[in-house]
Amino acid sequence: METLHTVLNRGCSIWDRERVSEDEFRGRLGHVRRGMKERDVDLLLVYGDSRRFGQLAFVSHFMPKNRGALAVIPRQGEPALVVQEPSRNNPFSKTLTWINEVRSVGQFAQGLGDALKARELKPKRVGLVSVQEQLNIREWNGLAKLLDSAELCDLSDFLASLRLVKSPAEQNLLKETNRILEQALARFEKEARVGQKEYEVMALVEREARRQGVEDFRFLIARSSEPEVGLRPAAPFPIRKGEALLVAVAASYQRYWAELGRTFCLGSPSQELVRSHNLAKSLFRKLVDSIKVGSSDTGKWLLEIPSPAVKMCLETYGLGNGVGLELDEAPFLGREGAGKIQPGMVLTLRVCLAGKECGSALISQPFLVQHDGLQPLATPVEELVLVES
Amino acid sequence: MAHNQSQIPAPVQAKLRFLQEAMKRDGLSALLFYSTGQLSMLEVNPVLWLSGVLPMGPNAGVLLTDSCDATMLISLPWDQGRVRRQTWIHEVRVAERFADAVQDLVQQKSVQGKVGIVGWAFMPAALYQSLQRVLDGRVEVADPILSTLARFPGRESLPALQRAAELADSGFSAILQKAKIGMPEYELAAEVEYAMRSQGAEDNFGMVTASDHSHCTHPPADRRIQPGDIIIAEITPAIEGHFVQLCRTAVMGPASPLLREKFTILEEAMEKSLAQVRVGKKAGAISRVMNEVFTAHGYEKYCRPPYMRVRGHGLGFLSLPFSEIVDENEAVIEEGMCFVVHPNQYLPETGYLMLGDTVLVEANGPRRLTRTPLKLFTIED
Repeated sequence: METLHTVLNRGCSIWDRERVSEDEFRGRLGHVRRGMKERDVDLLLVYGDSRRFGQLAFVSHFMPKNRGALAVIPRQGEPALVVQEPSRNNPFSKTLTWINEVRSVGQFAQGLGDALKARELKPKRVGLVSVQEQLNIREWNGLAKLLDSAELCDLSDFLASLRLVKSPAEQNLLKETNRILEQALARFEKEARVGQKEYEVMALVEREARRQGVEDFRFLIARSSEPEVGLRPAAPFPIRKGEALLVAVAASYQRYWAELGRTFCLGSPSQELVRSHNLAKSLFRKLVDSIKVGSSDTGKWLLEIPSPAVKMCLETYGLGNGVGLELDEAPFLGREGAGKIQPGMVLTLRVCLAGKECGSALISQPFLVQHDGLQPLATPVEELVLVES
Repeated sequence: MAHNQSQIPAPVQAKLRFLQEAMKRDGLSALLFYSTGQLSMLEVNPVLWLSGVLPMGPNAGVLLTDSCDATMLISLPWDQGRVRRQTWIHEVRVAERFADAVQDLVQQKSVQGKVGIVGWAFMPAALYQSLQRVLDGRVEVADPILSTLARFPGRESLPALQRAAELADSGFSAILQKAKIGMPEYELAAEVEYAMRSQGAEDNFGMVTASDHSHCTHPPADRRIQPGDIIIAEITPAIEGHFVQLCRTAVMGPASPLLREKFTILEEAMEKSLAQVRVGKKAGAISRVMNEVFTAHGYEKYCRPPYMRVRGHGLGFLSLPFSEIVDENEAVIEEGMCFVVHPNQYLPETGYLMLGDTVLVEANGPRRLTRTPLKLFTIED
């Protein structure tokens, strides 16, 4: 799910080698190079910025803090990483990646040019991953000039396909991020009070997550008292008794994201609110049941929903998606071309009802796809969470 | 949709007048204010500046025609309610494919001539190329329009700036109160964050690190604070889209005579550079004076890359007098400008030390917005 980006990834920024080893990245590099060879590509450029760094982190483990970075992967020899940052930041940037050659530059063309020169490499066919989609036009013009004699091809889908199924190390990291988020949401349940401003309780939840080493944290809230407004960042509005509070939290830990969403109510919920949440619960179960290994039409059951408002709301927020190095990544459930569900995928499944005609409820949970079904990666909480006030 | 002038806030009406004149002057039929989802503290955010709201999602824009008809494009359908609540713009559309949505809009609004893009410098290449294609090459870079207009936060922004400054003070106070021997850097950073977020900070360009010899400031790692560590903090909370920055240094336990001696150089550089913040002077003078102080103490080499370069900067999202305070900056300082001055410095004997404050330029000189004293702090565990 999309959130409001921050100006800086300012949480714990390390590479934990025990959780994700260099061997993991060497293995990925091998897969990447086999794909390069099949596509007759002699150089691969993988870009990521502080907002979306999944493709970049997959090959480098690097996470840009506020600008961007470009992984330079030749068919042979060691890769390089070009980071847009002051040169004094170079020693720190080197601590975040397994790639030894980190070049801190003002402009990407300069860093790429130097990296190619050092390798005496004049690529004929260059694969691009997330470069034109994310890199700004000013920087792109510099790269395009540098590569003007090469044939360019987009390999973003190829790299994304390598990320669909998560390795055991990735699954463990995703479990850890989810564990942290569960604790953060437990803080909401413990601390939320009537009259408290939204951002006050958000700050408590965020602190809980940051204390446990997350790199980034997001918090969105929607309220049954303002059905015309969907999930949004916390505001100065005070929390009221008896209303539904739809809370979605997300965080990244060692570059791996997770999202959890629950519905809270301070005090006694109205019958309408209970009905609304029961509907969300039944829809969530249908959603879970629809996810089968080999299936590709995970949104078919939506056709059976009689209420157009409910159906539209589910589609608006999305039924779910893959989660890993990005908060929302392939497969995107219920969308055309989502591809087949495979064992080893990690999915966020989501039912969000927020609107005048569809009620107020949110259930968002992570699952690991296994041959015999879905394994929850967080304690399943599908009930309305009642908070004593 | 035509706007009822009386419903448009006065500061926006003034902006619209300027923009209309600029379009006429530059021969543009419309302006597209664009913002990518990746936000930068060092830039004016074109969409927020004009619309008053920062939409979520990968792309956001406002198309403003030369008759001042404004339409907003956002990425997420579920963000519409929040956006509508915060903006003066009546027409808000969800754009699944941004370039196509711009094309539709341009056709519907009968925009015949060139469309200036404000926010071009941050526009992803693929999107720019798509816009070029769907608008038959009728696009022009119009970033200078915004950099000319958005140099001052405006008097109406002073309460927000003051509030952001108070939060920055709170953030640094959290370091003095919470830092403990054995605490990981990231836990201390979490406390700083909490101190400001719990009081309404919308965002924070914040870096807190502890080391016996730092080479730069960076996001926190897992190092545990040791006796004698020097904690450097760059704290930059935002309120209503205005960022205010504070840079300070604290030492765990008593400061060594060497550290005290070296820190006085930063204090001297700060004092002398603030004296350069005067209406009519050039921004580059701030940097040159700062560098002269360090040079006089034998650190000329350390005033240049890879150690140091920038001696301050403007702060987005809503105004930016200039991007960097460097020796070569010829921009003239004017009353009402707001920027940070920071003689942060790597010194070989102590590592990287930080000292800096956001100032508002007044007729008789700079007004520091924060209240935290400009000194080296010590923390007794």
